[in-house]
Amino acid sequence: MSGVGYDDWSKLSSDLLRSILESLTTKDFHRARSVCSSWYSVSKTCTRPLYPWRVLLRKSSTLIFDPKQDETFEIEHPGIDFSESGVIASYSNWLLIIDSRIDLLYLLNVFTCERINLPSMGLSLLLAEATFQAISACLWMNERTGEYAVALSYMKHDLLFSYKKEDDTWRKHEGTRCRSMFYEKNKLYVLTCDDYVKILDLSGDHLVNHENVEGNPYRNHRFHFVSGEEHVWTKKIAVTNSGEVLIVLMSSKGLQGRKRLFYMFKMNFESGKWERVYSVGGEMLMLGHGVTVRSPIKEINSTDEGIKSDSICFIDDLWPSADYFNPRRQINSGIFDPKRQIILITWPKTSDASVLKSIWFVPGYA
Amino acid sequence: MENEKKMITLKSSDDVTFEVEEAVVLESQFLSHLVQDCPAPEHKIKEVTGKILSKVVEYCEKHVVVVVDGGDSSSSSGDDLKKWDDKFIKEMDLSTVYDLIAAANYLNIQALLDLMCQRVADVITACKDHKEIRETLGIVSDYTAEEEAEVLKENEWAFD
Repeated sequence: MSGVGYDDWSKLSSDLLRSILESLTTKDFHRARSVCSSWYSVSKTCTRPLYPWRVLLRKSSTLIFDPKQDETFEIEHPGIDFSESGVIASYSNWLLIIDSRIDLLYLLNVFTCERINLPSMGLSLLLAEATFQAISACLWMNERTGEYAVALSYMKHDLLFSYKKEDDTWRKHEGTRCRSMFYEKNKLYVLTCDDYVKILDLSGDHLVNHENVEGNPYRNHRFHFVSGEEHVWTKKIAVTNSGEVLIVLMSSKGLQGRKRLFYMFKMNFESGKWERVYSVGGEMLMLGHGVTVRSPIKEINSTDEGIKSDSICFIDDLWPSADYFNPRRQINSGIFDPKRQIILITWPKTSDASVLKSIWFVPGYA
Repeated sequence: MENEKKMITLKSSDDVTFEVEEAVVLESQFLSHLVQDCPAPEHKIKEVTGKILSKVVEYCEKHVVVVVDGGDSSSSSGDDLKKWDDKFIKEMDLSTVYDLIAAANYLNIQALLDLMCQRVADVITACKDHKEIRETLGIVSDYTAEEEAEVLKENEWAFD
């Protein structure tokens, strides 16, 4: 307590400052944390409300939309040509980008434009012939410590690689044909092309066998789904905050495939069977780039947003379309309600030829 | 009514006294415990000055929950209270806000603390960048030029 009328706001108690900083909008939070070193250190301990934002990619800039503030701002990315590169994964403020022209993989922070180049995989030939859709990737990043992990697989070629910050080279994981993957706590959960769940341990050194057999309760339980009139296009794996594996099917009904559906499955360990579930347990699932957002979600109370817990954020390259193999086609994003089995909304709402792709990300996810 | 309203005297660090109803004191968790544990008629609060204690008393008197027979507070009285709160914080200079935050924290009056923190958040929101926040709150940056550049690189996208 000052007592003498001398107030030093930089010395405000951490708990009080934290609650003030946590109440700010994202932009104000970033202004405030730049004020002095004590505010900056407290800001690192803040828990920010999480909700998904959208990024619209243009040729060499991004339009970032904050649904809570209903505000869009443009960030220039000179030197990046999004029409020639593919965003193949995202996590927190970061995108994993592949530029096939120059055989380069890098991470890009959508706010600060910071880039982290990843070592070459020495696979330029493969990169050249693979379309972005033939690549499955996942990214994990801890904003506080700067640690990150990347995994990449070429489905056709039986190749799966992983890279963690400060590794010398990519690790190659033999004998795993990967359909989809999810990284958490040094573990890479892989849904294989023959529908088994494999868990790879990325914590040890390069030479050991990476597969975690004992710690994988899903190992002998092949995922199986008998489809009726629907056609299954894509299968994705995700892990909920409680550590349960979710398998999500992207399917459509009818020949034209107009009605798009998501089916979710969890393992019932008593029966040993994968069972369909209709809820993400209050979490929000980000598909396309495979992230489960931890709850609680900041709900956006706006009629045309529909951002709420227990919903699925998706990008629409999960389904085929007439120009599926055109890498330049516009890719939209949307939100799906798994209880009602309907798409709530898609973006961009109006056709804007300058937008190449619309994707989700959740800022500040640490 | 079994008993008369019980009055309690609060004395500030600079010996300014305030005579208030017990219900007013109960708005503060700290004072509630103090009054229960030590049933003296007068309590000295060494950590809070008279100027600040008068603000605390003003706030608590306004916010005392009056239990009327069968009555629950109507929405209009809630609106009135909110208007009063708005006026209360708008008229206050930042130095008083600072001391009141410290006092509300010490006396454990959560609603007052929330209100004061909201005022600070509003002040920050009204600033266009970190420099304006520094000027408004009188904070001297302790960054070296290099550190400042590093922090700006990370956060500058948020400045208008």
